[in-house]
Amino acid sequence: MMKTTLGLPVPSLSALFAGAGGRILRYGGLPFISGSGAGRRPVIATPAARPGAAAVAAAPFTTTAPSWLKPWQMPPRPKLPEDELEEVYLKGSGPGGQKINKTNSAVQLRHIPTNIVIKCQETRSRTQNRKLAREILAAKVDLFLNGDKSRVAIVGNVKKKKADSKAKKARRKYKKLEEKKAGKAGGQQLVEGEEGAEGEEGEEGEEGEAEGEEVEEGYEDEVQEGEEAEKGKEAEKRGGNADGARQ
Amino acid sequence: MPRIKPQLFWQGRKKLGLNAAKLLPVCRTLESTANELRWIKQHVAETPSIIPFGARVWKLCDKRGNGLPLAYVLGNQPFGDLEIKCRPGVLIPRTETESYTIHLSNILRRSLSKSDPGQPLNIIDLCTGTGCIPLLLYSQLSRSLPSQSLNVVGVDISQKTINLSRRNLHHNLRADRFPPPSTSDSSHTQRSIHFLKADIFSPSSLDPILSTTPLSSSSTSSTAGTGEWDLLTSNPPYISPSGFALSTSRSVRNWEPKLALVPPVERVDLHQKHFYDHYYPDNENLLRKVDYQPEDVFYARLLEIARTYGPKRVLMEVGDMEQAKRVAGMVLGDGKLRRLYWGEGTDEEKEKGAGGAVQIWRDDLVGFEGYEEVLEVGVGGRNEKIVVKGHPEGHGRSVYLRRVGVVDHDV
Repeated sequence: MMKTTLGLPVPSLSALFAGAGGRILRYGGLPFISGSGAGRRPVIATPAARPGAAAVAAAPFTTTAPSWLKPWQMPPRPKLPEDELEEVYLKGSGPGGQKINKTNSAVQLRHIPTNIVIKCQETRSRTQNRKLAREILAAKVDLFLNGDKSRVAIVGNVKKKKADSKAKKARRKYKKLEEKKAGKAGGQQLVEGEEGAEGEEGEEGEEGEAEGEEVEEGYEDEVQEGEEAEKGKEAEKRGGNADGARQ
Repeated sequence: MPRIKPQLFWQGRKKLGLNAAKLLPVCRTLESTANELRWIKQHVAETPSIIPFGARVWKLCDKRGNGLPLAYVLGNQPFGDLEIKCRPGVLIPRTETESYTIHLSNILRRSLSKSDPGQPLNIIDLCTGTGCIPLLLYSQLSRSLPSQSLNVVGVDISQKTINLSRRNLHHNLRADRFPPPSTSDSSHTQRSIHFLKADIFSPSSLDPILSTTPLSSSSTSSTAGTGEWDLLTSNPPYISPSGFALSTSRSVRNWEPKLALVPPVERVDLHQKHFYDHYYPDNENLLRKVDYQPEDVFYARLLEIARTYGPKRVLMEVGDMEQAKRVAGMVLGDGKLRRLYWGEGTDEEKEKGAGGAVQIWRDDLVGFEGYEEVLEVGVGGRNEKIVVKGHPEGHGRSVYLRRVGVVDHDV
């Protein structure tokens, strides 16, 4: 659950609407894609397959992906033709109109050939729900038909590779730190100072979350003393690193 | 209303947190509670403030739990691709309204794309409230008919709503959701949108607006008007006093303005006996047997305006199918309206679309345009066949009139 807003400049709405036939939807200030409420993953805004348009809208959000697929090499966002889709009528309860101010305007969409049905109640606007429903259904049909080759699977792979690589780097770094610390068991003041400095350096390139996780993992492996002493040491290390991180 | 099962509260607390308990009595189902909680949290996340996140969500859930409608809690309501600001004292735009407005803009787009764009399109919306219908029509048409000149007017009786409409216009302009109205005469596509205060029941305040604002291409100055209205829309108060007490949902009844929901029935008492004489003094048919109810008084006035000024298309929102049939009956029971909007042509002419049209539209037309059926409406002893568009499970939502000679290209 995204709790804080990123302080990034948001591309203007007209730029988003103008390109890509409304594929990237503005939702609040950030582009999102989601299944019906199951979890929200912000989209790395890739105005796919059109490198010309990339400069306008995508600037704050694109990441540089060195060894994996470039945005324009990824399979394009799937789109389904209208005659294969059928909207299922959701009967509203009550008289409707001025007498009721209902907040949810759910849209149920069915893909006729594969008979996949999705219900979308993401936003309070029926128009936006219809657009989102088409996107989600297109992604689901793509996954169903293409399996591994679908865009969803490939994007998932790319993200997994990135996460794995990041975790590996973090593990490597903290292993090094541990070895250094074990080596200089005698000079503890120096160790703490060094770790603080190394923590700061390391912090610039890393995300806070990954580092937090890795710190815990690393120390659980390495420490072999009694439990209380272990905990005290972990807390001290974590505290030391955390301070270094925030500074 | 039945009690909410305690197990639902426990499930809500487990899945959604402590705030769910406040929202459940209002939202009634876990699904709906989850949705509303999510929207509240998103809203708090998007609007920066020094007050911490959790405290703000708590406060808003408190307000919502008391019955305050979500649009008032969050301060806005999405409408098409616009964001309409909502304040207590002004009616919240409904999704049904959004649906038929978009369908109407699709019809206009298809019908006008081939016609002369130099002729400005004059649209007037009465009882506009937040200004949602004029703003959405302006937004849709300026995008789908970029070379067409537009002149959109919204009228309401209350100064509060006019202020809010103007605020909505500026809010959406700033967010770049539609092109700005042009002020210079030199550009060939002129677009203007105004909100004016007037009481539609008093001819002295409404007639100046109706006769001077339609623009025609031959006028040199933008203020003089000699053209005619292309579209008259309205979402008037249509709930009867008993309906308000019995079938209106609690959050509407307690928090939304009654001025926008229930017509002032006392006006009808004065004229009820002479309903037709008062509103249609030159009606040669004198069909006094037309069935009407006190809450139809706004439609009587709207149809009087329609028969005087003869707009090409008229769209009025109604409460249910019964009221829709009564309004259609009012149209067919008056000689002048019949000539203007029904025509006395044969059925074949009507099917070609050259004749006029009196249609009833149901809920949720967008996406369900193909559905059509024919309904019998009794008018003064005779039965007339009215086309009803929309999925058969939907409630009757609006009455659409098209003047004889005007063509709607197929949707």
